[in-house]
Amino acid sequence: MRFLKNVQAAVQVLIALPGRTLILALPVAVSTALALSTLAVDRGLSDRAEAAARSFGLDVISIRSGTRVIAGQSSTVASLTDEDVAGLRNQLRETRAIEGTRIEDNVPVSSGGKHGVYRIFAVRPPWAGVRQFGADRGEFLSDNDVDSSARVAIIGQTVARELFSGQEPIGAQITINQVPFEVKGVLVPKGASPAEGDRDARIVIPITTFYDRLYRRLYLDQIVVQTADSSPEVLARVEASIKRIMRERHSIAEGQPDDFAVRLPDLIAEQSRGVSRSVVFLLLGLAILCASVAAAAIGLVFAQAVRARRTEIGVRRAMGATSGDILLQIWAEGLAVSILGGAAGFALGWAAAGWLAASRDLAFAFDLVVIAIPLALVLLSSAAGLMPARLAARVDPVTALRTTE
Amino acid sequence: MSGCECKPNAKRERDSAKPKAKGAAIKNMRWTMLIEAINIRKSYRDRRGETVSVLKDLSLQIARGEFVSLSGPSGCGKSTLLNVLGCLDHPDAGAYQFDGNDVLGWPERQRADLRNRRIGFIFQGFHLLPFLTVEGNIKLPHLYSRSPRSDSTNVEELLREVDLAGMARRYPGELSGGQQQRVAIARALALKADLILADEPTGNLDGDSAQSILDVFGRLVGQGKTVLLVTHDPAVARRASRHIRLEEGRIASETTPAKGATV
Repeated sequence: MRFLKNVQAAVQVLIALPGRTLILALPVAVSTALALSTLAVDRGLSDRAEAAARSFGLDVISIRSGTRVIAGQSSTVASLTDEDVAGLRNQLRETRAIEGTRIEDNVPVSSGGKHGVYRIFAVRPPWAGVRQFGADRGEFLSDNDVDSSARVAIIGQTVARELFSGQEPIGAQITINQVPFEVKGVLVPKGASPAEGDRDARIVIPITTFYDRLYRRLYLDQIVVQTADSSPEVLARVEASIKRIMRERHSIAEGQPDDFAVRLPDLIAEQSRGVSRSVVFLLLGLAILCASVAAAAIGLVFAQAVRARRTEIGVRRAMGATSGDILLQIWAEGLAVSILGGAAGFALGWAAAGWLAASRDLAFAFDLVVIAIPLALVLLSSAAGLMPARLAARVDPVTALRTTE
Repeated sequence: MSGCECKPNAKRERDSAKPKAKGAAIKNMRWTMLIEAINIRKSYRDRRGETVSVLKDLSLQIARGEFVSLSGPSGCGKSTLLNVLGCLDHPDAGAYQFDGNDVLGWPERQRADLRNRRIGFIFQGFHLLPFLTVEGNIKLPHLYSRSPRSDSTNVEELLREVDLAGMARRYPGELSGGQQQRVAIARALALKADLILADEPTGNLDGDSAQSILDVFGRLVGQGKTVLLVTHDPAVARRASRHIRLEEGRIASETTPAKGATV
């Protein structure tokens, strides 16, 4: 009861001095909002990165052609071949599947007067199992399709939507780089990722058809290796073996750089985040700095206010307040400012996280940590009110009320 | 000479209906005393660190319903005495009973509760909280009251009592000095205090305002309240039923205005 009455007294003062209340609550709100939105977006990006890694395959290691810098220009080295795939299959242990892929970007595709440019993946049937990228409707590629270099295609959800506008694409004809193909199926939806772009804007065709009918290119663009399990130890061992075998196969001398790049699922996850962790830490540091400023402002302004409010404190003591009441009231004022700022900060942070996610193609999510850290910043600000509260409790009412005798 | 020597006069006035038996008379006399301060001593350290004695073995009794004025030169200990009697300050030595209770031995919370329920303070500078309305100021003691009935105080009734009806929503800054002091009186009465301690309540007021404040005090005494008023103004002091003059921390003289000095 007494506590509530002191809170009531604190609220009376805060309402009576709205300008001061808002100025003090502002840095609390900013720090809370900054911390909450940063952590929420980080949580969302982490979730998305994990989903991207899972979607790519937590047990899938990707080998891509490396880059070489010649005369200051970075260019991709056409270094991966079907022989590499065969060599890896022979020598690598702790794997379940190894598949080579040819990839061509920005390939013109049309159907029934509609046109688009998409990414072509030329693969063998086991690729669908490795990448968990099979047919959602219709059928995926068969061994027969590969053996016969069949002109069949499995199109992504985006391709289906853009070229067929809701009509059934299976069985329909499309032309890929002016070569006619029959749509055999529609791929499962995968969504977009910063690392791989719109994964539904893809068309999968037999790897033999790619060579025989579209691009007479022998080298591979990617080899995917599915490991026996997704434990970090197995992934690390397989990665080391891949590097050793590939360097041997490509006759790369000691001290020379690889002509290929190996990507583990965690690298894919990091690339899928879109915003680096260091940016998150920077923003979080800024939020903590802001909270420290808020705490310092509350401490200093209230300490100054205590000096200015000595007569008021004396009057309250004369009216029956104990030193404990005064401590509680002044601290409650700081606490109320912190709660007000914190509540505004949570609302702002929530809105900012939503806005960022919507406008910058980011994601956001809330969990206990996302809530706990901004809450700790609010508590830091409220604790700052304790020092001036103790100062106020020590004000001698007689001195405070003294007038000339 | 201590304030105890006022007892025979006051006693005569009060004892008209007393039982004859000596023991009963003493018991009844003690019962009717609201304040009994005996050999109160209080000293401070000044800025140079030297001890300054403000109250020197001062004794004083005030009966219920008395209107006592207190005057004396600056620094003679008037406000200090008020603070000690109001339980805001603690004497270095001496005994103090409020309504028969040895309040000096009470813990802070109990003394704060006594200030809240039974003592009303009125200051020369009014000391109203400028950010609260008249009603908020009057209800200020409620915040610190442990009595569940305290919230039932009728602010309008109190304002009528001090001739400020209809001003509950005003802020102190919108009122004249006299009006502010009357709000302070209403605040002192919010929890029906027995004792009003007024430290130069008319010091900042013009003649008419001061007169109206004194009229309010007169009415309060008529209702049975006890008033101890510090003043420099002899005219104000004469309105009291007893006038005490302090000099150098001691009672120098004591008069009942109608009868002249007793010391």
